[in-house]
Amino acid sequence: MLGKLIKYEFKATAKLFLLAYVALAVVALLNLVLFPLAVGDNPVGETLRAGTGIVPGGDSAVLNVAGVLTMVLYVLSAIGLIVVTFVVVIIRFYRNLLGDEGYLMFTLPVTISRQILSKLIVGTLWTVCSIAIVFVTFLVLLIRLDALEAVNDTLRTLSETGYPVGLWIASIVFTIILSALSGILQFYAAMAVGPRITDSRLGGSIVAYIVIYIITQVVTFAILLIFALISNLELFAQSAAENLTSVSAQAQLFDSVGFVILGSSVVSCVAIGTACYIFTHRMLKRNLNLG
Amino acid sequence: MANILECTNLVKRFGHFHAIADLNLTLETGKVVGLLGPNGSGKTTLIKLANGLLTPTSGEIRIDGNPPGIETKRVVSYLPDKTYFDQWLKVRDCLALFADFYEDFDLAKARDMLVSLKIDEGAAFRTLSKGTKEKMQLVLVMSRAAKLYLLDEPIGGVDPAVRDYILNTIIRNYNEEGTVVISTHLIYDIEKILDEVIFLKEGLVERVASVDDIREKEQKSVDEVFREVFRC
Repeated sequence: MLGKLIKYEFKATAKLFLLAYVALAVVALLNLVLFPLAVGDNPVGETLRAGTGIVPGGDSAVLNVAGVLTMVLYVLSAIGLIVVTFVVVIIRFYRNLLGDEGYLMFTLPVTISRQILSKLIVGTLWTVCSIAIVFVTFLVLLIRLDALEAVNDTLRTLSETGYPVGLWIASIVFTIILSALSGILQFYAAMAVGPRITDSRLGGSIVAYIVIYIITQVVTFAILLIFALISNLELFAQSAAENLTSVSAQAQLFDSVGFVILGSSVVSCVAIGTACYIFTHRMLKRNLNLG
Repeated sequence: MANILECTNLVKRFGHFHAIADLNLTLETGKVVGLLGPNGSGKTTLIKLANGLLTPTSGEIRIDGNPPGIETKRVVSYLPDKTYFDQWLKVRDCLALFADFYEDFDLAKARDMLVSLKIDEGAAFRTLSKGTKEKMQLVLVMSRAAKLYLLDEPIGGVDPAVRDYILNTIIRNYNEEGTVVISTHLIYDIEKILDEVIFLKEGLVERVASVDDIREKEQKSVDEVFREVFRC
């Protein structure tokens, strides 16, 4: 039954997200072509100059404006996509389970945990996809700058010294997925408890979210502190006092900082996510009370 | 005969308001029952409690021996007093959803009824008129071979011609081993199909009677009795 719920959840959201991804890709592509025309000093600009005689970067005010505008448009679209993703994930849960559509969903012969999980899995999938799309389009835009080359060089050098670059990237991706899961569950918990706080489900949900947000910030900070205490403190002090020059010392410092940030994030996401899931489940099972 | 619905000292309070106040009720299988009462008497609340959409303040409600849960949802076919499909679904998606989740759903039967109602399967739910949405939901709900049908105001928002269609649909399609509960305050239209009536008043059962008894012993119609019981 979980598979079927996921299928319907996916179908209900796919069109909107795919459309948004295509839109961002188009903006990025537009930018890839127009921005170099404004700046000029790059292969695309060169080719254009050779082909058309237009001199990029300075000659044409129209090209300059268009180039800069598409860059602004790209940045706004990327931010917009992430915001829209969260809004859609929240609205789906609210409308499909707690609004009129809940009269259908909660009378299907399906357990509450499957209802929550199907929404959570599809919501997390879209969140991760949105972040990935923003990341990939951003990388594509970096191609024309030397920045990508520099990042690539650093990564290559690190790999050659035997540093586990792949492992770090995998850990970061894993942490992002966990953060998405935990972030979405915090919204679910707020919406599930909302009507118990005030008569207005929306108002109650907002108040509940603020409370949950404060609690999670305290918990996250506490866990971060514990991780910092058990990791190599001396190295932090040392790095603050002097610039670390040797590669091995830098790597060691990076290791400790990475361990503190990623490790504490993983632990707090798991703790907060689990608590929010149990709480949401309990509220929907024992205090559903659809209006 | 087995009881399909059983309420014991059931209470549902909203703040200080007792929507259901210490209600006791049992319903047998194989009946068409009218749940009658004026607005605010607790009809919708009772039906929502039976579906697990509301949780009781105290007391118990059991369907086929179980409290509302996954087992009862398998055997209850519920028509709410609102439209409950995602507006972006097509009619055919709604059919597929019922077929996917309810084992007792008869897809061919539902399709036949939609054809006779001239509802296009390719149409988006949001483009249907309010009356058509209600009819479509009724078709889906009545195409299940459920043990208990809970129909909340099935004829509330439609014109008299459609009312007849809806009542005929209910009578022709329900699983005869099952029980149909129809909540309404439009008694005149519905009394000819009822076996039993439950009068609800301020969250309590005022009276349970068989329609034959009312007609034969009291020589009255259900509508007349209703007007007597609920005289303002």
